[in-house]
Amino acid sequence: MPIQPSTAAIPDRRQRFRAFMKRFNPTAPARVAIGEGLIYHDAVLSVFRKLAARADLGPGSQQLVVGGIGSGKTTQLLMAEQELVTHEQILPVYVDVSVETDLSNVSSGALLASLGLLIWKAITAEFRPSDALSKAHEAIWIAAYGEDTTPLSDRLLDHAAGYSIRMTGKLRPPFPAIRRDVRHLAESVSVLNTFLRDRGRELVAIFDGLDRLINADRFWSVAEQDLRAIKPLEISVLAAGPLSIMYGPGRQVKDYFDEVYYLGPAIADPKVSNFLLDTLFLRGADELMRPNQMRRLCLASGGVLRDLISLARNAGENAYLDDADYIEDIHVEQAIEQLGNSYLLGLGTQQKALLTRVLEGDGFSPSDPERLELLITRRILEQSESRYEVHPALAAVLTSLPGDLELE
Amino acid sequence: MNLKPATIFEIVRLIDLQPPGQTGFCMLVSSSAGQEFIGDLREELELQIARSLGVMYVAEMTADALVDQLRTTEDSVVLLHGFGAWGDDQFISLDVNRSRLETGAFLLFSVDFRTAGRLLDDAPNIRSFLGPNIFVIAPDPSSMRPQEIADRLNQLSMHYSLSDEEVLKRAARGDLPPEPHFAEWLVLLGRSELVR
Repeated sequence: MPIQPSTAAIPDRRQRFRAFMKRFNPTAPARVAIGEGLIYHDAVLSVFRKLAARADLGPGSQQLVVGGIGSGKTTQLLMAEQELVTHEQILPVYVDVSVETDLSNVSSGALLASLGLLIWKAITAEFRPSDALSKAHEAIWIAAYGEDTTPLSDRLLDHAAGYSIRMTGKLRPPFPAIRRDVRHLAESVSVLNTFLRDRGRELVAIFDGLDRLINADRFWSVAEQDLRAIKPLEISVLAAGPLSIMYGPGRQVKDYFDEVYYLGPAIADPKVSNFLLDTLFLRGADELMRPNQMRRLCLASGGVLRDLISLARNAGENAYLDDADYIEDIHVEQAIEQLGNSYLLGLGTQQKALLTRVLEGDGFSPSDPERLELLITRRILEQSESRYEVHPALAAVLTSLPGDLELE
Repeated sequence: MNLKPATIFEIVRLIDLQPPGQTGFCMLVSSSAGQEFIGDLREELELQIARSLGVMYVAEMTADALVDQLRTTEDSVVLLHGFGAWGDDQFISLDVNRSRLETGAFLLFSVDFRTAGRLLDDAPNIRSFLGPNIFVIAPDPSSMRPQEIADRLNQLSMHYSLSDEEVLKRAARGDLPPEPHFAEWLVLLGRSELVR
């Protein structure tokens, strides 16, 4: 069915496509998308509400949201924050760790330091801080940004009299002890926290960005000390974590948390669930494309939200470059092929052969690092705990590859 | 592999489509980001949409230095090239700091085919932002004189020891190597639909 032009004046073509791009921008910050009403609420209803309810009812609880890249973890955390703001006694503090620090070099204490600085900001916005509070802030600031210290040789002389060597005991503690610098940092954060609690405000720390550390070991090496140091302060924690936590050795990390919410790919088939289709309608996809094209994009996205947004945008770009007024089927197919190729780029012969076997019906299990990598890079999508499929856009280009892959 | 060919003119049209202030991500696959290509892109940007091009050669930079420099540049379109010299750790480091790339500029990652694969593999977060926006830079035959097209075709033929007919045959069979030069070749022959 062709799209019927509206009777209203048709705006400038460039402006019309630009407005479309603005609504379908996969790189737009989630906070902006939420503010502009571009998030389809029903879909995220359960997780963000559960996160907020548990943080509200269980002070000191630590919850984790895990999922693949582009699955909507940040959106869930931000919507939980919005929900918590409506509770007068709760003060949610959102920390995008990847903005606060260089995540590739981050170490223990970084979460606490970032949190402490943001709590201080919240306090000074409402109250005139006492000397004790200022002192705590100063300690946090120094932990965050460092200070000039006495040269080592002078310190050695100062402490030479009391110098001692620690002998290792026979029993190793089940968890490594909290490092002294992290413990001191937590004490300073505790001073700020107590000030707020005395005034009837309970803190909820929301740590976003840690999911970029896609390796579960790396994630835990950054987060463990800080989360354990925060626990006794009764500050509830919501955090985003990488998908690898759900598999292999990552499962031990999962067990630490009071609750872990897993965001899998959405149901891609609009015949089974309207979620993706409604997301497209909410963003006004129907201004440029027909419902059957939208359904095609839903299926090709594999249920990965960011891929759906990217596909719609790219179909629009293809139409614009073709000087078409509306998105045509060819533009949709080109977008799917382009996304498939982006997943194909970088794959080695063995990986392609493995994916082809999965397409032919072989089972898949993320049992080794190579297979887990296919899952983390979203070439394989998890449809349930035991069912996996090749990303549909990648599947389309894989099946069109010529020749015997093994001979490539 | 069928990466979409795009001319500099089309790339600039895409940049123009990005709402101002929103960060854009795009990957341009070509054999090299030579001075001629950079000059043509700069000229097209200025002529078509009156925007300036920042160029960053990243080969000697750490990921952290790249991010720092990006945050201080005032250009709204930035071409990043020289990634071929980067190791996996640098790509991983850039990937985990993806949020710090969101400066409101339109970022063009210019890479050769092999580096494109390494970048996308080591940086799945950046891949997710790029989505389908990966293009092979193609010449624009409509802006070239017939002699220029013939000279370039001759150059390619000499370099690969293949005739136009052989290239067309192999393209139809789908067994041309995924090298950007072959995309250019097919576009110059007016057969961009065969780009593989």
